[in-house]
Amino acid sequence: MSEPKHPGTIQFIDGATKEVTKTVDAKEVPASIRFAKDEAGELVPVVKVVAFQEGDRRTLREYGPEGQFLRSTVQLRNAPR
Amino acid sequence: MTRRIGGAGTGPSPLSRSARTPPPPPKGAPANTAAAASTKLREARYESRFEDTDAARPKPQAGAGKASAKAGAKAGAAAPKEDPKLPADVRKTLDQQLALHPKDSAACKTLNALAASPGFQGMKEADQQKLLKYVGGTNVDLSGPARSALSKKLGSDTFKKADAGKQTAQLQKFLTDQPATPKVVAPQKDAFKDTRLPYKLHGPSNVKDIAFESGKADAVKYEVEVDGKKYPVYLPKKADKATTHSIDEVAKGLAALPKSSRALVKEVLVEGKPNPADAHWAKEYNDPNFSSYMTAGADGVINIYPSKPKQSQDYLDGTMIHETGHTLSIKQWGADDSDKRWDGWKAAIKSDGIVPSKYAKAAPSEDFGEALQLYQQVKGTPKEAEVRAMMPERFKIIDALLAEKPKP
Repeated sequence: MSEPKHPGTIQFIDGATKEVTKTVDAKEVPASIRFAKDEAGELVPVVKVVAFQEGDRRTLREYGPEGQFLRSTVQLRNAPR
Repeated sequence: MTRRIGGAGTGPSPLSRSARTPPPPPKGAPANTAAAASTKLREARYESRFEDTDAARPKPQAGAGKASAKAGAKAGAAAPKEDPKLPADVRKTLDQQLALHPKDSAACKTLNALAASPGFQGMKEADQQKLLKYVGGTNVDLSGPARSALSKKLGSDTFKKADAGKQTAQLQKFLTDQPATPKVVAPQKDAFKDTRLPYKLHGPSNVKDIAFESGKADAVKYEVEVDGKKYPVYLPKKADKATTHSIDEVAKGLAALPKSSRALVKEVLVEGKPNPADAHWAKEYNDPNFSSYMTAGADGVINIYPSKPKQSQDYLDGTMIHETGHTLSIKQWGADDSDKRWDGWKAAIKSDGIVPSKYAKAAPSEDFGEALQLYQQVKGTPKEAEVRAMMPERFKIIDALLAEKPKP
């Protein structure tokens, strides 16, 4: 599947404060984060990542240029070795 | 006049104003033996309530002397049906909550101590109701920890030595902060056992070069049939059983989803390797100790990653409900929770007051995911009524949402 043109930057937002913590050049992130599929299964540029964290769980929610939701990832803290 | 509030720590209030309480004998009438014994028991329980708890004993009202207060306390069942300090509906709720703990004297003591405190009596009726429903339940998700925390508060010098107004402020803060709320909604063991639908497995068949998020690999494909619909599930051919969910576990997860959420699932990919994006997230958030467990996409694809140790069935079920819940709420009200379509949910959060978890406070959309997970795990169980009483407005919205025909 061919990649669409990316607008150029991705904003990282703290979900709790709604503040933009960082804006990065899209080229600096892997393609698997730079793009995600929309409802129709078409690749869409990710332009915003909102992170929520509470204790051992973090959720990352990725959005496209129209504000459309693309993907939600739940991450867990690794068990101590 | 002395207030009569709740029971003695062993169950429903023996001083209850309900139909269970016989009317007091007329003045001067000789009490029969049984009635006299009953009255003595009530007196003993009433007195022991204050001996057993650290709560401030209710003070007599202005104008009432020490002797009359004592006489009122001794009156037991002869207490008037109306209590000027607690509205009838609040008393009813108190009795209902006490009745939930017939063998838990500690729970009853806490509830009685709360109701007897001038601080509680100074709260608004709506808040009294919320607080009683919050700390009075038998559920271990919210009420159990909340009641323990409240018990400590009621026994603290900061509370006991405070005047009524400051006690009220402390209780109000307790109700707002909900300090004992769990970090996340954690499913209890077998939480979804009763709500899970039956399922059938079709397959497996071998398939080549499946585009897992963690890289192309050969896979085994199953179809999980739930409620007449088949969902493709791909698993790696070589999977570490210690870290990777089995087809049965995934099928159970699909069968535990609310119908509206399941309708949004197109396929499930059980990944044999970690999410390659984890390395970037670790760098981005300056913390290498997090790994992806699950991804739910707008396209209806769910990716489940290996976890060490492998997460339980209950956790898998709960996470699938939470994550697909995001897709469900977004379809209903939009991706941005500042969208006006989210106003109803936000108003419900405000009206209910009680939160399902600390995580739910992060955003209305996270509150929805957590509330949906809690809803699904108590639905149809004996705990449903008490959890619904804590979050009536949210549960109403979820009822309506899940009753709708799933959106295409």
